[in-house]
Amino acid sequence: MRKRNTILFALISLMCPLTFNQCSSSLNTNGISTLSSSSENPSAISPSRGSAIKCTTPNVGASFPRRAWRLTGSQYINSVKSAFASVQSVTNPFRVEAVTGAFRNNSDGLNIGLQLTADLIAENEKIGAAAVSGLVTAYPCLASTINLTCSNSVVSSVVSSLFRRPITATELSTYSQFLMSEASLYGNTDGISAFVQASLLSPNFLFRYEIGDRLTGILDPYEKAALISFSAADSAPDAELMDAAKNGALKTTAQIKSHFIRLAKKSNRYETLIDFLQQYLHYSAITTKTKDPALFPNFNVNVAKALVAETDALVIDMMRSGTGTISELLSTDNVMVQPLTASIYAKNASSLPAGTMTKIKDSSRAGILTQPSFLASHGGTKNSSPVQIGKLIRTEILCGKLGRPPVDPPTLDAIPETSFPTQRERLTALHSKGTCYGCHRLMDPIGLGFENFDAVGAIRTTENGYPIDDSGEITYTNSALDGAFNGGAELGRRLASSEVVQSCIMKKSFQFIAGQVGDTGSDCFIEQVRKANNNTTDKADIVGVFADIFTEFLLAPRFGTLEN
Amino acid sequence: MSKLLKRREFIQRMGLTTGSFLLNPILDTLIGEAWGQAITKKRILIYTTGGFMWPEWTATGGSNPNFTLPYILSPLEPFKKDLLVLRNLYCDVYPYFHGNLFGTLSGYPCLGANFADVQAYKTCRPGGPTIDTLLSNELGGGTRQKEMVITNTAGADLANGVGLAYARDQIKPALNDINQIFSTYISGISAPAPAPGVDPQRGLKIKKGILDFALLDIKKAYRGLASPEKNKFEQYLASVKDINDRLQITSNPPSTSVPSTCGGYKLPSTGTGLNGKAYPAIYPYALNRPGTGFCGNEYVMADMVALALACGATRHATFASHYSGTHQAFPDIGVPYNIHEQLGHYILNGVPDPASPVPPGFTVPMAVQAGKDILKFHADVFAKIYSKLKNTPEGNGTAADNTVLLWFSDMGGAHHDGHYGFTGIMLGNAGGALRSGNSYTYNRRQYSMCQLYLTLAKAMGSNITQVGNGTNPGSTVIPGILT
Repeated sequence: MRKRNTILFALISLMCPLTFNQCSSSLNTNGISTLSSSSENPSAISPSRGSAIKCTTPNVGASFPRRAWRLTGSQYINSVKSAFASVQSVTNPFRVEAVTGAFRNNSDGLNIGLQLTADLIAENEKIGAAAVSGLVTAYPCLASTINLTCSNSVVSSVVSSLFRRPITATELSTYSQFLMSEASLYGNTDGISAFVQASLLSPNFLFRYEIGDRLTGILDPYEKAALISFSAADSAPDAELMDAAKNGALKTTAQIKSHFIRLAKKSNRYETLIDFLQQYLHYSAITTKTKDPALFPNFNVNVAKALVAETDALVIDMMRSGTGTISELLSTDNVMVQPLTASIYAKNASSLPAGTMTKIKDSSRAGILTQPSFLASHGGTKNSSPVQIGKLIRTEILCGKLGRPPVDPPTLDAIPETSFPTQRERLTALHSKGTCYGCHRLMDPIGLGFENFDAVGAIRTTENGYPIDDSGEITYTNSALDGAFNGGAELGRRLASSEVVQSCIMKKSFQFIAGQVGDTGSDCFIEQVRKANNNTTDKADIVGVFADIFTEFLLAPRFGTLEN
Repeated sequence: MSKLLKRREFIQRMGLTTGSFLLNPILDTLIGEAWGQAITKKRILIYTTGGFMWPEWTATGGSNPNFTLPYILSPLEPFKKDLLVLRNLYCDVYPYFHGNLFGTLSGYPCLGANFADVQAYKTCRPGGPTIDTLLSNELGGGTRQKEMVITNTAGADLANGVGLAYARDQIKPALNDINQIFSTYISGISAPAPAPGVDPQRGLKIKKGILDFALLDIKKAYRGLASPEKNKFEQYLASVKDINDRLQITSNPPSTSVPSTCGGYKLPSTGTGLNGKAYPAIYPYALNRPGTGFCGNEYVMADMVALALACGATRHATFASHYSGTHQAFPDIGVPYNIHEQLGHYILNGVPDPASPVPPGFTVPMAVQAGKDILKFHADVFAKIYSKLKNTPEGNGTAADNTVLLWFSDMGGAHHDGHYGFTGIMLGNAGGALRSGNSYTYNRRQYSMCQLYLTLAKAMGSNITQVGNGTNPGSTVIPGILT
């Protein structure tokens, strides 16, 4: 058996093509791991704090390009609902757009081409019709012939609200005349609806501007207010924030941070934080995936949705009654369980109350990376997926870099289970030699530490009759993180105390909040923010981390030539 | 006292000087100027099969520009100063007598496995790039369709069918229904039927008012931002404008009524035609739109071509009329018999063909007159397209100002009449690039069709330097045509 496996092993190693060498700067021509000086430098793999990035310019005072930032679908929906009381239902008109970068709100990708414009016009038509009754209630003068006084009153309020700033005299006149003209031609109902639709098509509503003063690049108060509100609460500024802008009370770090935290916690549901985590860790992907019904007969879309809801609830609970820190996010032993998902947590469903979630301790898990929603989202149809989990942790939690995979990589399907009965053996056979090894040495040892979880995130102790080996290892971070571990829970606790991890999560937070793709400049900016705020994982909750980053980002000047 | 403005006054206050019916083209100009864009040239190629009966094209009664149009071209009389007639061109691409669209468009012999493939339209494949593909690939960007091909034959292989359209660059399924063609490929908007008693244009007018307003708003919105941020507004502006254009033409869909020139001839449902085939079989086009016939279909298709260019759905259109020439009977325009055999095999070929005798009761003058009537009908369709563009405002003039239409056929004479004697008829001067208002008859084999295509391409601002192959040189323009 041993001899046969050796031959198979050699054959399988040949499956990794020679071109699959994106991470092989550390490999010599024989394909043997002999880490070169460049790859021994952790900066080539995992740019960790300080050593990997040379920030030569002071970043307090860092600047960002002037830009226009189109509303995302959720921002459009929230803004419309807050502007028009009678509009109850709004559909995302941008649902067909592709995501550019790591997060949906990346400003570079937020364009509006023909298809989205057509969808927007169609949605605005529905909103226009639905908005009429609420506007007539709020402005009774709209019920009869609309005169200039009435029109000015409506326009100055509605359009200012939509534009998130006081409107100019020209805008007031233009919109007011349009409202009266359309009402005169087509009647008040259609005229008011047309006015609403025209307002919603305006770029002043559809785009957030970051232009700032022509000379200094400092954002004006209303630009600041819009950025604060959309970043903290995914919606247009509320009255309190608009008052602060009007009264010049958005100048200091404390003022900005205060409004950011107020809005982020206003609903007590932490929607923005959950949106970030779902996009960042993709734990809601499970709702669109399937599992082998022969192996997981009780798993279905309702279970998947329940798992996601449990992770959301865990985060909310952490923010409300825990410390809400990155450390807690990665290490909490609390889980939220319902009867529908009890078996995944190895609990008895009948012992749990129906129709609600129960918070319990589960020592086999530690933090969000051991949540079933996360594990199932990244697991395969039949089995765990150590490569996927290892890759996500290497690139998204440690901010390491990997080369691009080959177009048609060899898969585990080619490895016979009869000879290699466990995932660990199959992965080792496929990746431990040849050029595959260059990148997979950075992923597989981390992911294999999660082998104590199956494809739906349930604890397992055997695989195909063999005992589970959940030993894993982190390498090449040039930090205290490096070393062996056993099981996802141990890894979670180790990650929770790491500055490398905190720095990385802050970088991802910046990309989310600022709607930008990270680069060396922004990484330096984040390092400066970290130092300036003396953050550690135990001192600030995640909303506070967001606020620290955001405030410095907001106060930084914008640069770039403005045309006349 | 309410200071209610009427719509016209409102538009004037927005900085414009005319009523809403001209608002869209004026906006085009304003917006184009704002973004530093020039109006782009457009072209239509119109192809009719079966030859041109070239002896019948000679202009008479004086030299340029005071020539007199022959009977066939009489429908173009209102546009004579915009006309260029180039006669006696050649195109040596046919190993056999039969002509075809791809051979004529490319200047390369058709590819085919055998004689039957090469001579058959449906299996002929171009041996090299066609001029329409060359132009649309180079100049066709920035519109919804790089090129629009409207043809009365179906599908990419130009096989059988009528009233069908497809977009060559998108390879979409061919469609039979005129309204579906219109909404899918041209307007992109299907307007619901208006309620009884309600102005059918009311909903469209409201929508257009909103988009007109939005377009002016977007124009001011970039607030000095440079590229790439400015591009976001340009893209949004172009998108709103595109939809606005489609709304404009949705309010004026193609007329599906049969023009009076079609004569209202009722097709026989039984009996046998002169070619010995049963009537329904030889009039497949008429079966698609009962009571309309080939003639009515041609006018609707012409309408669609003009609308496609007018609304910016495309800048490059090819209108291929395959069941035209001498291949079919045209009962709806007074030619109830198929004259292909008589014209193509006997009369114009000059050698009597025992296999194609003139049938009893049918004379040579009758066949010639029938051929001329068919071509005059096509000239009328050609004129209709141009007229529609002339009536579409664009910038400070009309959509015809920056357009050139080229009408051509696959053979100089009739179906079996050789590779010389081709005629190219151009309407419109492509923004002043062509010396219109002239008619030229060249010496035999003096200039090729490929040289005509290259001349056309240069008039449109193309950078291509060669059309066709060595036996059909298209590397120099025809002199005296470009300004």
